[in-house]
Amino acid sequence: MKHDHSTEEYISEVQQQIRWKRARKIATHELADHIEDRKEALMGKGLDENAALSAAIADMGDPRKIGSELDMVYRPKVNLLLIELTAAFLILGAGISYLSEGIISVSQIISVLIGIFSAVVLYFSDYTVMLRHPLMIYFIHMFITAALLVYEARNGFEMIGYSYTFYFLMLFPVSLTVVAADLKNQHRKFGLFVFTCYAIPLFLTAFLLSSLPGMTMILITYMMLACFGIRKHWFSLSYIGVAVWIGLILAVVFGMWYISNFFHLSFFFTNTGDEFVQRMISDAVFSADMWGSSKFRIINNKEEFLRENYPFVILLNKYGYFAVGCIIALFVGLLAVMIHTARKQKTEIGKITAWSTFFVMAFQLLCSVICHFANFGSMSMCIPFLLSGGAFTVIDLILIGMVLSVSRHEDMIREWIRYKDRKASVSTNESDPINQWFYQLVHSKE
Amino acid sequence: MGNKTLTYGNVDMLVLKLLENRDMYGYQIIEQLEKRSDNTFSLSAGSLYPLLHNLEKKNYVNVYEADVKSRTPGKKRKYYHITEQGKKYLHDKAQEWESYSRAINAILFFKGGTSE
Repeated sequence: MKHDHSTEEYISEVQQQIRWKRARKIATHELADHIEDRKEALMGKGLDENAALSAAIADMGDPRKIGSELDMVYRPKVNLLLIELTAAFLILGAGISYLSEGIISVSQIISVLIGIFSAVVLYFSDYTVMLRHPLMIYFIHMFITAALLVYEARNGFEMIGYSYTFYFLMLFPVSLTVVAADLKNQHRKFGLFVFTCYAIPLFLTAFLLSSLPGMTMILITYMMLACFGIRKHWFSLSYIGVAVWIGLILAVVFGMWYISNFFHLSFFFTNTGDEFVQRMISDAVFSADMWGSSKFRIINNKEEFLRENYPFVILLNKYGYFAVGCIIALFVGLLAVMIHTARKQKTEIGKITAWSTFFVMAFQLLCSVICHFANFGSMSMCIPFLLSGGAFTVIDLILIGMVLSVSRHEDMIREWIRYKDRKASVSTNESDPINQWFYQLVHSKE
Repeated sequence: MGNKTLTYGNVDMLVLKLLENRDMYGYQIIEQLEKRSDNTFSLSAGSLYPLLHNLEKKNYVNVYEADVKSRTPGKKRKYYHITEQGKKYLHDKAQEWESYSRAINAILFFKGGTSE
């Protein structure tokens, strides 16, 4: 069966009215079927093929009108509230840096620019590529992290602490979530075992970095995904499977204990041990005013340490409880927007991407708050966007870019996935004439 | 025969009503609409598909693909299925339409004299 050229011309004219190029093919692929159905019906009434096709196309109506209406339906969504909140945080972060240091450093500006560029690139890209190539994403991510780890470990693992390796580790909840979703799609018998094998190198990396937040983050991500996967039957799990799973977790815990003794590693989960610093933190918090700067002065040479490890102490001391309350309220707003975006998603890929980005952001904020309480000590986890180093800002903007990309594709993602699947099946079945025609259609120039 | 053009506000109600009984594909919806209205209403493909895509966006319908018995092997068709949200919307719209048409009829077919 060969489609008449005018069908393509009609669809091409409809597509020209749709401004979002990515939506053009998915919005119009039904039209060819409709013309075909109508043509067959008219042929059944006695018309010859050419006359039936012409009549079928005429019955479709004005291609510019249908194109304009489809253009109204398929518009990229912009999550304005998230952009506004992120911009507010970036401005606030720059303001706080300027007020406390009297200057906004060039490296800080460059980090923000790199972060914004990354977010923009992610916003315009197709985030579903993560589900199509989850292992590639995971292994590239793992390779870069491992290379950084080896590079930074030249002076011994205990010297690394919080480094670029750690920043890359911060993005692993997203990679790991996509790998879990991929295993679900494959219905592997030993899905959970395979998933555990993907999680172990990440956990060991965090362990070698002596990073309690890193280990906690990977462990929580792993446990949440494993439990969710078992509950949703992503992994078929027998009693033997459960036993192997528990055995593996125990092996990792004992392995960690052994390695930590061997390398004499120490974790940052105790308090600083410096009673003077502890007392200063306590005094700074309790002497803070409701409005504005406190009379209590933090010793200059300790300010840098506190800014990196106890950011809320600095904020309370300099700007008072009200300002810190406003900042926390803004963060609650940011997290609420991320939750709202995740809940609104109609597809699994949309949901898991949005929830995993939310998790990283919420975890980061939680760590930066929780370290201020007794017995937790410093976790060197910055408040997102505020008093944070350049790399943290880039990571946070990458997360925001991912959420924006999820929002942008919200209304068309199901169709987009179907279109991609169809395209993949077409390339594997090119002998079929309708597929050949469809192949030409989807590969024709925009 | 009167005006066959449907106003946009009513088309979604009619399409959802058709989908309440069974899942259909685009061409089938047009055919059924003409058949059930005894050729009174005619909907063009140009109006139907943007409407269906809009209903999907609002979560009133779901879409799935199914194989078609056709001359072309492996051909798939997009079927539309009404959701619970769509059923609720249809129910509300039908009630709205009932009170609206009752009010119109009460005026058009009023047989009593004027009160003044």
